[in-house]
Amino acid sequence: MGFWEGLWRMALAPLVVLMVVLTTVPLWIWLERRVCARIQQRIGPNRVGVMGLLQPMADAAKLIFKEDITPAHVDRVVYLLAPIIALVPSMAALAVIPFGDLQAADVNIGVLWILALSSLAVYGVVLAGWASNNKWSMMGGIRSAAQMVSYELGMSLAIIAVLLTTSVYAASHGGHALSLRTAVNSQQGVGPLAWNFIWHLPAFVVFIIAAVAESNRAPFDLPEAEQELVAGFHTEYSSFRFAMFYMGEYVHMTTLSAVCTCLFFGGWLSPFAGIPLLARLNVSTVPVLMYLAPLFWFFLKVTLFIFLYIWLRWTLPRMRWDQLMALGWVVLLPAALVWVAVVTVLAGAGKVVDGFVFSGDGWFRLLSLLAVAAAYLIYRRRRGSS
Amino acid sequence: MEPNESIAWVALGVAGALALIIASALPFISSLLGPRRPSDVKLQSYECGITPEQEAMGPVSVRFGVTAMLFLLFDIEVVFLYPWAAAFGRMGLFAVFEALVFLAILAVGYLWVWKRGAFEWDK
Amino acid sequence: MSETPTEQVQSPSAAVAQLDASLRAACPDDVLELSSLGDSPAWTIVPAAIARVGARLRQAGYDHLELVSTVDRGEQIEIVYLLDSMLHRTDPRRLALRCVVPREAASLPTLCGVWRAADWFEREAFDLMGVTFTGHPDPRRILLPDQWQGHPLRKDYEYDSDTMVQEILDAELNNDDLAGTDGHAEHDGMVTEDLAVNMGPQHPSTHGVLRLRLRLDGEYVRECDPDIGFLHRAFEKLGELKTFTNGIPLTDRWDYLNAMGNNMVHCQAVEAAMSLEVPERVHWTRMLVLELNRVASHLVFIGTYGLDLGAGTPFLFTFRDRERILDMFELLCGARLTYNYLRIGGVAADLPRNFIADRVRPFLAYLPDRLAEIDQLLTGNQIFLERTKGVGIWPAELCVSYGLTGPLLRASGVARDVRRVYPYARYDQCEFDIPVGENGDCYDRYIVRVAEIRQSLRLLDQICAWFEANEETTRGQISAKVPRVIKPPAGEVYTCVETPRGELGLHLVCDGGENPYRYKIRRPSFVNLGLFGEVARDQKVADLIAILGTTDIVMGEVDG
Repeated sequence: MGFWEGLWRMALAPLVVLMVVLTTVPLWIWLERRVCARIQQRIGPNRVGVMGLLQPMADAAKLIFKEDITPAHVDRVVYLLAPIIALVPSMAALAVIPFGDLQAADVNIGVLWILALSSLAVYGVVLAGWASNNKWSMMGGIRSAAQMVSYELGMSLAIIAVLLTTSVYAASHGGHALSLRTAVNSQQGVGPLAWNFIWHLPAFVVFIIAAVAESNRAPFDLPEAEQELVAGFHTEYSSFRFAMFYMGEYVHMTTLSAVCTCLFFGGWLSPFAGIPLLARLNVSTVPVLMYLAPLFWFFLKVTLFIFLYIWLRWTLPRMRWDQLMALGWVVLLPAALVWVAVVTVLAGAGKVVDGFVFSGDGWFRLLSLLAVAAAYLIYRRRRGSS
Repeated sequence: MEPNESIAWVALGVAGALALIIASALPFISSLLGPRRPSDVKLQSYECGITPEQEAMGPVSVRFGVTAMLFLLFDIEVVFLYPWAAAFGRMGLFAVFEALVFLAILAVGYLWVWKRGAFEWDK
Repeated sequence: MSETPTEQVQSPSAAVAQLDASLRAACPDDVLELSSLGDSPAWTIVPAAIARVGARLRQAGYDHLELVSTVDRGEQIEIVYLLDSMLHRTDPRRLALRCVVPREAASLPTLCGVWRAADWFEREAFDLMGVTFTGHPDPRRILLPDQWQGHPLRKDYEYDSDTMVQEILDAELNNDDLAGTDGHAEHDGMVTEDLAVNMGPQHPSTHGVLRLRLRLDGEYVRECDPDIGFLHRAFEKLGELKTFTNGIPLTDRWDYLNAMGNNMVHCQAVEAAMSLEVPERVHWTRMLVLELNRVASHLVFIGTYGLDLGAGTPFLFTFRDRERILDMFELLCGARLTYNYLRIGGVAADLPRNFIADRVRPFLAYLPDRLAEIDQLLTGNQIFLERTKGVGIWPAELCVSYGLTGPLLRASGVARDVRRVYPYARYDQCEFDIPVGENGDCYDRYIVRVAEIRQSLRLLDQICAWFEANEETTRGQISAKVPRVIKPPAGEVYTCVETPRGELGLHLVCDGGENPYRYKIRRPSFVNLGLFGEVARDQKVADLIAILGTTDIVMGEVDG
């Protein structure tokens, strides 16, 4: 391996990935304000820069120049560290996400790195609430932490389900089972039909809901809801420390959207891939575009998920705390568990009858669709009769 | 490890370090650039316009502790599931049965906790 | 006293005579003379016996304590109680009790044991007039700070501004332990401590400057003490200082979301005191603006309630629709919020030409679809339903006992609306339903108001039809003949109107001069908030916001 390639892979790629993400965060903030405005039949920022695109920059500049107030009775060290602890894990988690060919670190632990860092991010939140020496902040911080932690379980289990089929794929096609790159590769096929959200529908639904709850977004934003606890765990933070929490939330959303894209929506794969007529739209022959097209598809999908986040926030009211916790523990966790069991059986069965009429993979997909359809019909039956 | 792989780990470390540097630099810059005019009122904790009386680092509902413990238990089970899931492709039917047994034990535990009411946040 | 099974329609005086006889029979030494207050009979009662007589009347079916008013009569202070009946049929429907106490020893028994509504009424009477009520469970000042000296509504009130105000500023608002608690609780043998917390006065959800002193046990509220008075602007005192006409702009500022209704109660009271008849067109114009104001106020409620529950979007939608109404008002009287539109004997200006056809009719056509949209966003939303159904159930008896009126009461199943019971303007000539809830939970309080918007639209339709039929014949008749200087004859009167918050009443005592002698406002938000301390107990904190939102209080009216 040459010097430049080594340098790129060791130092520059991580830098580029971080920069890319840090520039998309203002984009999401802009998107949030414009989409929110449109939903509310307003216009949103349109003065600062073309279509208001520089608005987040203006806001960031304002926040940097504000007075940095540290309340008198806070636990100084913890108070100063908390925003950092909240922001760093989300940013570092992006290192293992494959944006097409661009990836900071293609390690063999992939998804596990992200989950470990998600758990660390909880520290930032609860420490912020604790250190602020403010009842409201403390309550908000603890509730936020409890919420994040409860939904992380559902999320992990949903990932495990996808992991199972990925590892089956990895066994025959090579690659690390835990790596997101392998997960995307396992979704190659006939356009969107090969993507996991169809075949792992319950896991997808659980993951999406858990992702929204993980990032403390509405309808799960009780801990930071203005109306309830003023501003929740970051009440006492001003100036850029507040901006760090704010940024951290968007980076976290980006990370989770990226993971969701990789696991369920085919990552950088074009939706036209593999479809006979539309395959002509693939630009895989033109060199520059060959590098950019996967990036484009990846970011398009991530943008759609961010749009979903924003849509949910401005349409739905907030769930109450106990309802929120009940949803996480009593609905999502068992659903994910059951689905893991189902996938185990079906994927195992698929491996056994591999080659018999369908490939093992094909059997899994067929049976999983049948399982979901059956579950849905049973649910409707019970709903109808009660 | 192959050189490819070890480079990836270095890159991971670099990514973490970069994140740390950026995250630490920003508030530092901000504290340099912003004005500094401390006053008594600004340094007070916020309690909706009233001077707070009670120490904030006080009582916390015990249910949060219960939730933390439950999370710990289930997370450890999930952690056990990860290597199994990663190796699933290379194992035979044994993996399936073993996992079902594991999940069944987990399910029994889960149901017991449910029946005991640990998931309820009402009184 | 109950009605005989073969009750026929008695003439009013016969019913009064019957009640008089039965009262004197039951409490022979306590009932003094029989007079009247406006249209209602008024008995003067021996002060020490007021609780006994009150209990007697409560048994007889007078379950609603409408108002406790105090009048400084020089050597003596007169306390006036207005009783009404909600859940029972009594004849006469409304009556008054008077007690006269000496100025220096102004004290009489409390009525808290009979009507819970007396709680806050009596605290206010103590605060502003210095009447003490023996046996009151919580005899603190309510509107003014605890360190205040003197009782402002007394005619001889003077205060030493510098020292007293300095004292008040020096005494910080402290978070002292809520009375009667020790702050501990037991869970399964484990003793845990409660958390004393302030919500407000600066808080996004308390709808203005309201301070709730809470004691929390984890997620649950163990005690809630509302602390009001931050927006007290001395309207009752100012009412005595202004002439009858000059007082109208002040009324706008009580419940600023329903300024027309405030104007209305003031003008109606003065007109009743003067026995003034207003022209037909004035009645319909007043109804027009009152109903438009009701729609605007309920739209604000829907928007802010969604906001309280975390739904940010309906707020924008309802405020945009409210803008249409505000534009109409701006055309009418030049203002968007504080209209000063009604006058004694009429209105300030006539409707602009084609106002009905160009403005009101299109609005009536436009709003139903928007309400359907709100239904989709909020009413049908699963999360919204889970946060409001079954939350904060208030039984009808509790509401009536606390003197609740308006949509809060109707949500608990009591179909009472002043426009039906004591009709004013031309409401008795219009057709409209009174929406009533089933369970008295937050959802019902919300859906009753949405239904009231629809009923208001129905009323507006009929009002527009009247205008379309009578435009040419009545145009320009915007006022009765009123003297230049308005001096109602000496006497007193009580009138009320139905506002989006409940029954807004004005107890006006005139002495033949240019200013009112006593100007007592029965403020529905004040009375409605009196219930909150009790119903907040044992609720979750998140539910607290949901319940407080449904009370739809306006602090300008609570604090007066």
